[in-house]
Amino acid sequence: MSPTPLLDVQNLRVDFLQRSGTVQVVRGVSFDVSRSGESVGIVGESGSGKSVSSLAIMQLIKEPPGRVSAERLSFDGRDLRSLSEREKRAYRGRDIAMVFQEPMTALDPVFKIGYQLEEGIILHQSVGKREAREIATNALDQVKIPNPQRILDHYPDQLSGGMRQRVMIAMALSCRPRILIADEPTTALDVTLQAQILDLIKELQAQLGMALIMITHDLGVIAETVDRVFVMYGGKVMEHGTACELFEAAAHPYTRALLRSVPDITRPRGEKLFAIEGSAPSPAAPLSGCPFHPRCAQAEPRCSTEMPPQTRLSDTQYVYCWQSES
Amino acid sequence: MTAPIAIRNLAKHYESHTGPPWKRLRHVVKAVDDVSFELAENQVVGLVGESGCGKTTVGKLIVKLLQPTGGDVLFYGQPIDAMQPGELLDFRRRVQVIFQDPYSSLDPRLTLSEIIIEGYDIHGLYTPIERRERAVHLLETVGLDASYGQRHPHELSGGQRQRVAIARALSLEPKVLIADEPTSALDVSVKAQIINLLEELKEQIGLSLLFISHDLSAVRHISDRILVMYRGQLVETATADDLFTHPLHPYTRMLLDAIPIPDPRRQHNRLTLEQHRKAADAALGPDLRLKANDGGEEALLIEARPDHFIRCYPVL
Repeated sequence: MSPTPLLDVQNLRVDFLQRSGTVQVVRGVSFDVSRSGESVGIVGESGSGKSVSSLAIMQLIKEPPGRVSAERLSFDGRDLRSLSEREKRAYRGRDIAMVFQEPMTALDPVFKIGYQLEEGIILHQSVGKREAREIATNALDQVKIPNPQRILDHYPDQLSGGMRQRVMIAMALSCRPRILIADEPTTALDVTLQAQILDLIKELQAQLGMALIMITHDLGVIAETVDRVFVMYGGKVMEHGTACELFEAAAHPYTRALLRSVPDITRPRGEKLFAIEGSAPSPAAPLSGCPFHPRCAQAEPRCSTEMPPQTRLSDTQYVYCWQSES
Repeated sequence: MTAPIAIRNLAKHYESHTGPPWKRLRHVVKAVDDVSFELAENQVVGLVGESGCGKTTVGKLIVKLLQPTGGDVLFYGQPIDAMQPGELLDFRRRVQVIFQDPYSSLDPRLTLSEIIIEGYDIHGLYTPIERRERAVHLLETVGLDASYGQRHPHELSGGQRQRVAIARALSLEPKVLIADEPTSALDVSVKAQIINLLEELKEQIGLSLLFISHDLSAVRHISDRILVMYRGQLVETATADDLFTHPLHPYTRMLLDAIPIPDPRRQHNRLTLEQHRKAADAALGPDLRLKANDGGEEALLIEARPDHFIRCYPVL
């Protein structure tokens, strides 16, 4: 019997009701973060449901038009769906915090950085203004922003993209969350900045002993930051394993195709890039069978009618594919 | 043979003024400064650099969307600034652009075939029937079914839109294609499709391609030659292989070092810029220096290895 995981999500579904019908964005996803300090990655392309899953975990999906259902959705043994609005507010930020993709739009342009940082600190830690300012200064110092006291008096537009992303991380970390969800934290940034921000996240994670959920479409980022990976496609989990397992022995055709389509600078040039034909399924279209079957080179007739069951390949690796089933 | 595009000491400086009228302060931002390179027949040149380094400005200067403040763009040896209106029209036909964002670069009110054949109207080419046939042919060339011709951009995914943008660029039989971050807005699995498509087209049609991007692994894959741009200047130029195996400039080294490697077993400890500088200095040898002696001298692009140039100072 394993101990209760820190975050436990079983069969999560998120639908959005629209005039034209129901859009199923997340179609039965199970995943977990087993303990503090663990780094878990979610890889997927746009429309795979990775961001919406994390919003559901944050309890940030408005119902209606959204509809969240799950067999289990619990943090540290507590059912998230039973929380009152007040408890949810305490949960967000203090237990679990999120860094969003767009550092340009995630900060409010009309308030100073200091105010935006202190707002959360005062709410969650019941401290006075002076103390909050001190915590905010330390938080900025922690993400290696030079001259934090001055930055507190700046408006977001006075900062560069990298600086804003640091502020976002400082804001997320200021209340010492137990899980940090980073949703494409470096996609909008240049490579050199990306490297700095990733190093910073890893360093702070080790220092504070918090768990990390890294959501990205960049396999390089995954390889560098996480222990375990969930591969998502069309609102479902396709494969799960440790980073080494997935990079060396991926079992799902989608994972394998994804790995092959990335130009690798450590390999010689001149080979043609492997491309997955077609495009990702629309969440609005009804799904039958495995979401990847229209693009899968190994698809069999039953792939288009029946979703394959889970096949265990090792203690940590499992895959949803008829190929591995037999 | 004259190169389709040659650029000589191209510069774009922006001036601004602050202070009251009687005490005006002049500020000059050198968005592009002293950039020279050639794009040969059937060659792919990659232009890399971070946001704000001036790489998009170079692209815009080449197609005359911006007016340079210095230097020349030569199209088959002829400066585009001295062109007669008729010649300029031909230049505009032969040099085409693809932009980064396929969501804003296609007119939402036109069907895809209207988008593709719009250029024929402007240039007065072909009869209406021929135009429609060509639109179908072009859609097929970029891997879209002919039935897409009647659709509107909003019905397409990002990758499909980028294919339409490529079809539109190809409609006028260009010699040169400037692709400004053509894959940055696309998903991983679709990115590879577009890169392969550009490569195939280059082979089939004999295009010269300027591939502007910050994605170094994509640039390495597609380019014959790579130019590294930093703060408006080229700091290093070399063949794609030589640049990746023997990076010389500390900025290039830092860029390469920053690429996340998709291999979890590789421990990646990045060096600081200072460490990169030391390593770069050591690699350069005793004849070249990265730092100026005193403010006066200008850094030059010097051939440090065969066909591999770096912006630095010679030791006198």
